[in-house]
Parts: sequence; C-alpha cells; structure tokens
Amino acid sequence: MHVIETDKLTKRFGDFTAVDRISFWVESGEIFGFLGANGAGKTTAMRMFCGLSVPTSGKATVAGYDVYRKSEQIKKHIGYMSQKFSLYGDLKVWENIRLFGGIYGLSSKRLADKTDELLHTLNLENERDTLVDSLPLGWKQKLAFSVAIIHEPTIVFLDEPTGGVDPVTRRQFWELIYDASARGITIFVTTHYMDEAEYCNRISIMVDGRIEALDKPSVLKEMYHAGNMNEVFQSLARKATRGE
Amino acid sequence: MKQFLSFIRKEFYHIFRDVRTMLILLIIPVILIILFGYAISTEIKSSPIAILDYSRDNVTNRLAEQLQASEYFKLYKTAGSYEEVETLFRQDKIRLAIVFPAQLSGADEPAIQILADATNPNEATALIQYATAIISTSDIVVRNLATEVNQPGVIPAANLLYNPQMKGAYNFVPGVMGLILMLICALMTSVGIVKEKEMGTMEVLLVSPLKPVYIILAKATPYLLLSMVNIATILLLSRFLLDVPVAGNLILLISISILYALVSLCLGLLISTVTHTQQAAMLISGMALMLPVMLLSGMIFPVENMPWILRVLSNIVPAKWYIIAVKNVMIKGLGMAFIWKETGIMLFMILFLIVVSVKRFKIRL
Repeated sequence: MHVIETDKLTKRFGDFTAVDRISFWVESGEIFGFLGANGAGKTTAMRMFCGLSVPTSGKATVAGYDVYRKSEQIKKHIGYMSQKFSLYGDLKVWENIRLFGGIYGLSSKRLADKTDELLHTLNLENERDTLVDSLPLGWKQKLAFSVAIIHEPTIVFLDEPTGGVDPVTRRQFWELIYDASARGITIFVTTHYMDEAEYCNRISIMVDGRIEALDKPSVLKEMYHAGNMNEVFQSLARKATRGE
Repeated sequence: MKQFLSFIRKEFYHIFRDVRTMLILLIIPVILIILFGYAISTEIKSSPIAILDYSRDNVTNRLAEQLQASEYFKLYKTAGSYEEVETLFRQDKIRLAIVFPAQLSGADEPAIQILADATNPNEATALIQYATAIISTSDIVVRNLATEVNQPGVIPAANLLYNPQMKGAYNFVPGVMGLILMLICALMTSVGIVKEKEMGTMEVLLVSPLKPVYIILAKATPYLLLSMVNIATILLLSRFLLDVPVAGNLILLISISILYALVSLCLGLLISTVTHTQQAAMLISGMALMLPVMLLSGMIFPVENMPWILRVLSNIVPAKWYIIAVKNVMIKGLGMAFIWKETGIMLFMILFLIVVSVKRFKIRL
C-alpha cells in the first residue's frame, strides 16, 4: 500500500509555481527523505500533504484519503513535527503529553499507559514534572517526536527535526525514528544534513519545485558518480535557477 | 468535547504560570478602581476663591460666609482690588472670584460679578453654577435684594437625580468595567492566539484533528471566565470601597457585560488574524481599542462636547454603548426596556465582527 501517492501535484501562488507537477509515492513503513535547497518547494508540498494548503491542480492521497476532500480524515492519521519547536514550554512534560493525547482523542487509560511508556523510552521518568522550557534542546526534540506519534499515526511528517541539535543527539533521534519505522509508522522527513539522508530508505531531491531525483541513496550515488550524498545534492542543486 | 477540555486546561496553565498575565488579570482592576476612586477625581471640592467686596455691608458679609460654608469653595483671600484678583488668577491661586459692587443693597438692579478661570471649561462651568445657586437661594439675598424684576421669586429647586452627591465614582465605575473587559478579552485573547502563531505551535494545532473553531473557542473561554471574575471584583470594590451600589437588576447587568465581553473577544480575534507578532497585537489592541475606550466612550470626557466628527466616530466604539447601558442599569436602576438600543447595537457588532473574522481567519493558513 502507498501511504502517499501524488500525480502531477501542483501549487501556484499567482505567477509563482512553488510545486510543479510532482508525481511520486511513499511506501508503507519506509523512511522517505524529502530533500531540496531552501525555496525548492519542500515546505509547500508538505503543507499540502498535511491538509494545511489546497493544491492548485493534480491528485494526491495521504493514508488513502484525498487531499482535496478528506483533509479532516487525513489529520487523524498523520503526525507532524515542525522545524519550530512544537511543544508548550510553560507546560510540564506530562502535561504536554496529556494535552496532545487529549487532542488526538486517546482514552484516559491508554493515555496513562502511553505516558509511562514514553517517559521510560526517553529516560525522562525523573523529568515528569519538569517544565519543558528547562529541558535541553535535544531532549525537547526527542520528546516532541514521541508526542507527534503518540496516537500511532499512519505517517509522520518531520520538517527539519534535527536543526541545531548536536551530532550525538541527532544519532539518538534517528534511533527513535528507526523504532517508529519498525512499528510500521511511515516516516516522511526533510533535512539539511546530508549524512541524515543516508539513513533514509529512499530520498527525493527537489529543485525549483520539481523532483529531479528519487531513489535509494546508494543508487543515486552511483547514478551521479558521487562518493556521498552531499556531492549528489550539490550537482543537482547547481541547476537551480530560483534564489532563496 | 474531551479534546476541547484538554485544550482549555492548557490555556489555564498558560495564564496561571505567566506572572505578567496574572498581574494584568488580578492587579489592574484593583489599581484602576483605586486610581479613579481617589486620585483622579472630577468632583469639585474646596476650590480656592477670592472675594472682592466694595460694599462691606451685612448682605455681602452674609453672602461671603455662605459661600465659604459650602463644601465647594474655600476662601483663599479677600482681595482689595481687581488688580489683585487678576494677579491671583495668574498665579493660579484661585479658580473663581466673586465681586460685590459698592452699594449692592441700594441698587436698582443689583448685580454680582462672578469671574472664573476657564482654562478648564468643565470645572469653570460647574463652579459658576454652584456659586450662582448659592447666591440666588441665599436667604439674605431673597430678603434684601429682591427687585421688582425678580419679585415674584421663581426659585429653581434643583434636584440631582441618581447621584445626589455628584460622586465621580458613579461615572467611572462603568467606565472601568468597559476598560477592563476590553483589556482582558480583546488584548489578552489576541496576544494569546498570535503567540501560538509566533511560536509555531499553531501549525501543529492546525494539523491536528482539532477543528479551528474549537481552537479559537478554547482560547477565548478562559478569558471570558476570568473577565467575569473581574466584573465581580469591580462590583464588590465599588459597592464596599466606593459606596456605589448596583441599583438595577444584577442578572441584567451581568448579561450585558457578557455581551460586551463577546464584542471584545471578536475584536481580539480580528486583531489576531491581521497580526503576526505579539508586539504588533499588543500595539494594535492598545492604540485601536484601549485609547478609544478612554477617550471616546464618555468615560472621562463627555462625548456631547466633542466636535461632530469625534461624536460620529464614538458610535463605533463598543465601550460607549456598554457604558451607557451599565449606567442605566447600575446607577439609574432601569430595566431592559431602556437599554434595548445599546444591546441591539452590541449584538449587531458581534455579528459583523464574526463574519469579518471568519473570512479573515485562514483555516489552512
């Protein structure tokens, strides 16, 4: 089953075509890297998948639901973590968990179980009553990710989740992503770090609103005769005519 | 419903954990009441006056005594000449001067001159009225100065209705209520919503299954509840601290307060849809909402004395209608029959604002 499927999906703002006829699919359970320079159209595309923005033309389904007509259904089956920090700093750790669990309609019993499980996995049992603001950034990001998938969504969208985080924490963050993926949650992630791109099952690279390349990292490296993903990305991004 | 409740609970955490918000919610109403109750007084009490007496007979002596005996006036000096009176005015020592001409009692048409410092017109008018009233009703004047002209002696008997002691509190308590409700419902709500936009949490909420209308309602509910707590505080303070009781129906008073709070909430919502930063929201709320409440609602300055353009403008200030309605119910003790116009206007404002805000509020950002 394809969790995301698009056909010539397009978004125009006036004369500007932010996303230009993209067609691809994401398979269930895979880790899909969505790459592109700033202004390439990643965020706009992602907003369409999340039901935050209506496409201008083309087709797309997310978790089996049409993005034009079933955005309410889509919202129930996706998780989302933005590049800005998405928890409430003046709420305690467990209050944040309860809030988002409540918003996604978890029962009290399930919420209590989930909270314990989550705090245990993250080693945050002693920080239950700590205000989120006083946690280190890396912990916050891990907590934000765990909260984003608290309702076991079909797919989770991560918009540059590891921005500004140190390499060790990034590594731990990716372990969480692998765990979630192993549980069957599809991961759709944008990133600026090319070493992270290597962790993905498949990646797509967007240039000027179009998907220029899409395949396994190893295949892409071979195709572009590159030693690492950074070289692949550079040779593609050089074609860009759009500024930031 | 459960989603909605967990969201409201979160809002209360935000409010109770922010010192600034708590200060605004709890301290400002008390400060405003005390400030307007004691410091900013529009009442006239013990205004310094000068008396210039060219007659010096028992009639003028008696009049001077009676003027001093009133609580409105305090004799600053008995002047010896017009020059001295003028100097006293210039030095800002007196607000009013009374001049008794020579041979006042024997004159065919006895006239007493009253001079007032009209740099503050409202005060000058009031002082002249008080002085005139004292002089014209004085027993000695009636007995000795009655001329043929005023012989039949139509003596006006003025009766100050609703507020016999002319207390300023009767005027500003409704004003403070209008100000506080606007402050909390409009300013705090708009800042609260814009804060979520600024922090990026609004995006996360919009991606969640929570319907945008519930997000807005959940943001507004706590402020509506807290503003009702403030209304209770203000009413209690005004009753027990300032001796301004609620003359009319309390339920009616609270109902119109809720109506006005809803108008304010809608204004706050509208502001939150046009701004992107908390500072901008605060600035717009302050300039576009709070200032008109202070200046154009009749709270401090009477609207009737303003140029026509400001009088017309004052009609779109919701606080004006709220304050009129509160005065009618709270001070005059009138019922619904006397405030249907004000209520209708506020209802219309709510409808209008909801339509505009919903059009502006971009669900999909």
